[in-house]
Amino acid sequence: MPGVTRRQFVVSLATLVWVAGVASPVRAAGRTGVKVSLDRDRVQVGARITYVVEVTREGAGTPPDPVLPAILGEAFRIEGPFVGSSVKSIFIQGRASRTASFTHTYTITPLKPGEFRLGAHIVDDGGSKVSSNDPLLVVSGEPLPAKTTPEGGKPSEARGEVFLWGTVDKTQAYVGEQIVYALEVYERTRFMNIGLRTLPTFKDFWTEELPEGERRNELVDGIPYRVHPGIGRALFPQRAGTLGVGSAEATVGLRRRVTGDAITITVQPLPAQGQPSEFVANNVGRYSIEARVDRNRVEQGQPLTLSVSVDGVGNVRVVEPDRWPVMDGMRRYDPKIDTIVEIRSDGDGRPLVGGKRTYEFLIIPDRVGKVTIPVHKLHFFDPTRERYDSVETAPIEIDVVAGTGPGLVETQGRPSAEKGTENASDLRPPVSGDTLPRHVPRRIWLTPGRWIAGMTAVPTIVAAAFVGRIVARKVGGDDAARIRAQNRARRRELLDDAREAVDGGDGFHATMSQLLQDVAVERAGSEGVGLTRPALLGLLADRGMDESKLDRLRRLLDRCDAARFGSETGDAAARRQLLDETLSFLRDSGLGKGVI
Amino acid sequence: MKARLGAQCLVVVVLGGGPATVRADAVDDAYAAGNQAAAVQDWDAAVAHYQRATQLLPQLNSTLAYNLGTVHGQAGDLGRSTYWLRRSLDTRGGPTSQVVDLAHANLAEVRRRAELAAIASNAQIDRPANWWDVLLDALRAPWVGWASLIAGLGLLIVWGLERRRPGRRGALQAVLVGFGLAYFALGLLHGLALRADSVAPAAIVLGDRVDVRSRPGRHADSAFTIQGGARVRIFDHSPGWQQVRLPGGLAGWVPEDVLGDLSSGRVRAGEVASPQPDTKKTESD
Repeated sequence: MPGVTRRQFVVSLATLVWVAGVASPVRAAGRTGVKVSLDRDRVQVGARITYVVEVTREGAGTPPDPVLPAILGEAFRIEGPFVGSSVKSIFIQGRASRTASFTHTYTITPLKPGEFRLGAHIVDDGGSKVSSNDPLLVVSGEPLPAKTTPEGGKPSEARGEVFLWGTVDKTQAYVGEQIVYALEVYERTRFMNIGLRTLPTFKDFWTEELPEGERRNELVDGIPYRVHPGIGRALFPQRAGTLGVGSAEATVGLRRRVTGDAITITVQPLPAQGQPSEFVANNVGRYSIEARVDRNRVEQGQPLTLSVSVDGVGNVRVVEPDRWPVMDGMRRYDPKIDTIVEIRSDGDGRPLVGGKRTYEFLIIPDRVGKVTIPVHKLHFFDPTRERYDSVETAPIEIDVVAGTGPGLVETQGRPSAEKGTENASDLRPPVSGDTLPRHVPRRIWLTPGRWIAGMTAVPTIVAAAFVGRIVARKVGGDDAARIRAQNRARRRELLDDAREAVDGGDGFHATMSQLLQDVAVERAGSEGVGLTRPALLGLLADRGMDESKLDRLRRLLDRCDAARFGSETGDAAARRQLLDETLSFLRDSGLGKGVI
Repeated sequence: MKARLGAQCLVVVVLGGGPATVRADAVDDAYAAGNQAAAVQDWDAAVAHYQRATQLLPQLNSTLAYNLGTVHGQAGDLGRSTYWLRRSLDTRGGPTSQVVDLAHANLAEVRRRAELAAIASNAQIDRPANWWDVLLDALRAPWVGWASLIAGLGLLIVWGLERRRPGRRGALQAVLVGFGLAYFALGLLHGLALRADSVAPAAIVLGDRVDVRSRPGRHADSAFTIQGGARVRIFDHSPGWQQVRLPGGLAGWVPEDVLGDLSSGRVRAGEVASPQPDTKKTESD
């Protein structure tokens, strides 16, 4: 290029790159961008400001919804958005370039003074956050009071495309008084998938469901809306004070959310003046009471059923009549309680919670004649007339005739007896006496701990024996000791064989002879191996064996030989005697160690 | 001087031997007073006298427990009646055959009333004892423990013989197997029965009806109501609360003072004392 040095060209190129890549305030993460604008930057509290968020997207796809700054939800009232869109397509060097733009227009009203940064952001397809510019709004003036939803009223001003509207039929009530709450969704344009994300909270209220309203069309500040019913509840405040119904939140489409207003209700305590002593705090509403029996004539000792029903509008699940009156001449058993909750309506057609609570008693008259079921009373507080009232049943006369059957009849597992009224003869009497029979407490020696110790001793001993054998094999005694142990085992086996052969005689004398020979050889030592009998006996004599014992040994061996090689093998008694004498010899001579 | 000293010593000896005699008389006095009150059907007074006797007599006495259970039943306190009648059957209390028969009869009657009361008030109660409970009680008995120990001892002896008498292995092995089976089977069953008692001791619910909470705490949600006299197992503890379970599986938390422990052989002073008359109502809070 003529007139341009290399240095100038490089600087120009770098500057161009910087401007294109860094300086632009509309920076797209990928191919999306967001920009915020205000029509004013200095206002008074309560002034309405137009807040516009423009989201653009290059290429295919719909621009994402903007995420507004959190401060808007805290310090502003938001209406809208009204959404406009446009798509622009251009061709550059044969290539098509499409840019979609969605403009979200809100009307915001500051509720308190301050300086507020109102930048928004979007989240692109890759999950990256793209922030907009951050305009400053300065608000001056006094903060606005908290806005509450008017009683049962309709909205007086349009709040954008869609908004939640919660109402109560009264914002001042007594403890326990029924309050009707309704939540509706106002929709200006048709939205898909409007759903309640967060239900309103009803802390310190007892709630019962009410039917939802019906869809309708309504003009709000001249703007037509479709009204969808949300939820309906009957609220019964459980304490006095300032209670609140929390705000609800709904989702519109996939990402948009709208929040309703909270509702404040002032709850007064029930007046102390005129409150009956029997009054129960839950009895707020309008009630009647009725008593019926299934029959007016009954045999003595036979049961009849008394039903006491409380009917009316209010929290029937917890309404309670006064204390049950004493019934002279009759026994009353614990009641079976049944509660039916219904939706009633007041004079204006509004739905209210009411119903019927029935107490069913089993009554058994004890005496013959006319008995009267006394009146049953109910005290309640009527909030519409703001006074206490009471109702009562009429007394019921029962004609009790003499019975012919057993006194107490059990019918289908009906209630048990009241305290102290069962027949005394049903239970056996206490053991009488002036002195208490004593006994010496029996000590249980085998406590669980001792039992466990005893039980674990068995496997412990077995395991110790196995381990000992293994250890003995590895580091046990010398060969001589092993040989001696083997010899003793062999002699024990011979002795067992001999015992088994006592009766039959088969092989008995041979076994006995071998056993005696064996013990003699062991006593004589290694020199005795292979010697003839006389030589062996002589060696034993040399080893210091007692003459008498030596003589016994000789005679035992001779007897065995005589039986083995002679014709007389003897009978079982003779063999048993020989065995006994052999055992005696082994014991006396000390040669039976480890054998007997 | 010496005579005076000897007299003083004698006085000390006499006085030193005195309290034991007085204590025994006090128990009999309370017992007799309870019997007199029961004879005129003054059940509350009888309960008070028998209760005093149990406090003076620290170990379990079956006759006294039976009387206390009976008068509780007459007064309509099914929970405490069940508890004391069951305690009267405990062998550690030395029950006579007469007491056993009477206690079984009264226990059946009290049980019947408790079941009816549970039906009427929609309260939960344990199922009646079946063959499995009887079997568990039998397996828990000391004789089963002794039998398993003897089987173990026999197992050791026969095993030793079998090692030393190789020629007799056939016969000894049969005996060895028999002792081994007895040792393992009886040991396992007895151990399981003992473990059940130690891990989850049995108790009786006192009072009329008790609200069982989902967690320990006066303001916790009530899971269900349990009838007084129901037999439960205690599984867990929390300060002032115990977690109980019915044989059917329902579980929850109750205050520890509404349970009578059946596993202890001793009677603690003040245990399961009857409530004052103005507090005799459903313990729901």
